[in-house]
Amino acid sequence: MKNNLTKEELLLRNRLNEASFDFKEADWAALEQQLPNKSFWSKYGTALKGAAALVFITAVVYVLNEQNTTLEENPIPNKELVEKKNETSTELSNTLKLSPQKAAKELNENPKIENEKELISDENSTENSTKEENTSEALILESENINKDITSALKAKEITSHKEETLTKAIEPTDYSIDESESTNKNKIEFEEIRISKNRCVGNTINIEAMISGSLNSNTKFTIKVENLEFSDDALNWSSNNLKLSFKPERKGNYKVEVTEGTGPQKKVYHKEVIQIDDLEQTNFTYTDLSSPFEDHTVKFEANHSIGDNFSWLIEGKEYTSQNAQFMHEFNNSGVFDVTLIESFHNGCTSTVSKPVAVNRDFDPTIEKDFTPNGDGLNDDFMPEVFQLREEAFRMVIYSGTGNVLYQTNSVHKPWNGRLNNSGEMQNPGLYIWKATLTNEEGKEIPYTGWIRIKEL
Amino acid sequence: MDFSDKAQVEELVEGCISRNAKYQKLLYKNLYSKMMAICYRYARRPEDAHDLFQEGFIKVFEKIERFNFNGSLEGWVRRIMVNNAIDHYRKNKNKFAISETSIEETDIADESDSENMFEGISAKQLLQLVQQLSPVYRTVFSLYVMDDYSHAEIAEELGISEGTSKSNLSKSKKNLKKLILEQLRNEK
Repeated sequence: MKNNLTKEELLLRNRLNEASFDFKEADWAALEQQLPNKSFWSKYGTALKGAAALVFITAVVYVLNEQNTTLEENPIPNKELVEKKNETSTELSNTLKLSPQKAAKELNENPKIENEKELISDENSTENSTKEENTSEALILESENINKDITSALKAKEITSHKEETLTKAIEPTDYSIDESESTNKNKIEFEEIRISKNRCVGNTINIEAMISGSLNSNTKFTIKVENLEFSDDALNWSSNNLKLSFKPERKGNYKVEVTEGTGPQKKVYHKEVIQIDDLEQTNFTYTDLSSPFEDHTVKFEANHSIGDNFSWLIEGKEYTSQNAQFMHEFNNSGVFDVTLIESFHNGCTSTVSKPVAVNRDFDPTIEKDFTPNGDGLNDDFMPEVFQLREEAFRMVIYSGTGNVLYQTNSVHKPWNGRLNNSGEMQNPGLYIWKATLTNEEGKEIPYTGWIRIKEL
Repeated sequence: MDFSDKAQVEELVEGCISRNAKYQKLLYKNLYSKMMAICYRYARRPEDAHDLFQEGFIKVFEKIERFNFNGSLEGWVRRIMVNNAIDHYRKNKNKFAISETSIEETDIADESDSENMFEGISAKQLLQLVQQLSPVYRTVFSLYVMDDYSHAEIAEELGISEGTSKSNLSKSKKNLKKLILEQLRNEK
């Protein structure tokens, strides 16, 4: 702090510095639209690449045609050709960072060089860039890649047009070496693209696949590495020793994705980028058992929010989908079932929740209930399971077969232990009746009833 | 994002230089809260603060090549935001002139309650009150108290004398205190 602030000014300053503002995705989206890079590259980047490639192809076709025709014509004197080559080589060497002498020498020594120029330029630029990245940790970024592609394509165009000029004047038969150069090409590895699945959210399995072309031998060892940029925690790092990697981040943030080949000083970085893993709106659902004793087993499910585009329900090994948050399902019988809800969001992320759903469970008289309140720790208490999953106001009364009240409770956490009021005399083996009520939000009481057998102790 | 980690900052800056949206977003997101708070102090309304903020960030991304790693990246971004706010102030100075005269001088609130006075008010509320100050008071107050500009620097930036800067500062504090008291009274 430069100024000598008074106590009061300091108080104001500190209080004002406490103000915080939550990042809004929409703000970024609005700004991104205004940034020059975005509009230019997204609009013209691909087009430029395509145009440059087209120019190159056209030029090659043109050269090949020219070769055929000019061969029959008079070649220009050798001296002029050498001059031309020198000129080209200087220019080449500037772009390729080769020493002019060396380049010129190569050019003069090998007449095939004309056709290989393109190859050299390609290889060199790749090598150079790879080295650069290794040493200075520079990042290969998407836009840079496009940039590079365009510059190399433009270079190629420049070179080709030069080639064209030279070749139209003097062509030697040995220039037919396109096949050869292609075969040389096959020996180098080209990074083509990286595919990263779009579901970049916490808890989602994100798949990465690097696409590499060229001939790969068994010694080529690729690594894909993902690491969190904010925390150096092993649980936030993943790596694979091939071209595929799946990972499931449990923390939001920025992660670096790196595709490399080899180890140590031989290591080549093919691709680096940062991806953002967002937080996820955790899905959840509630359900209402609409079934009544001895009738159907219909359950109404409702997801807690309806942000998702698609709701997928996994019930008894089958998948059902619904476009909105509500879903009805009829079970074949009563019981407790594991139900999984997968909510898919527009960004490709999914949020999953699984929980048991009790369907008409305690109403089924065919289910023999084991209730042995003998204090052995097994089935000593009775509380219908279904109510433990509910959040409504609850009340349960246990009656003897003759209709006397034996126990009452307002809490699902206070089960009956088989004794009168849970403290008196232990009841005899036999059938007892329970009646429970749930009071819903509107104050409506929903009654449930069933029976329970105390087995021989 | 750890702004004290040099490697991370270098990576971030390089990413922004090569116009990679991912890095731009990373920078934007990480400094969002702090820079928005700055812009709020220099603006009349939240919408204006928002505009200042977005405009400031466009400048940040345009000028990022010029960041030379002397000093912190956050400090650099902050300077751009403040300079942008000052530019804005200069451009609109003439429009403000009328409202300037309408400021009434008020009695000074007792200096002794000020400590308790700030307790009852939240940072966001205080920001809103700063916004209610006249443009020149708001600007002088923010530059001096919050952004470490000296009176001499303020005088130069705003085209006023050092004396005016000083008196503006004290008047801005008086007015701010008055606003705080009003706010607290209304709350009761």
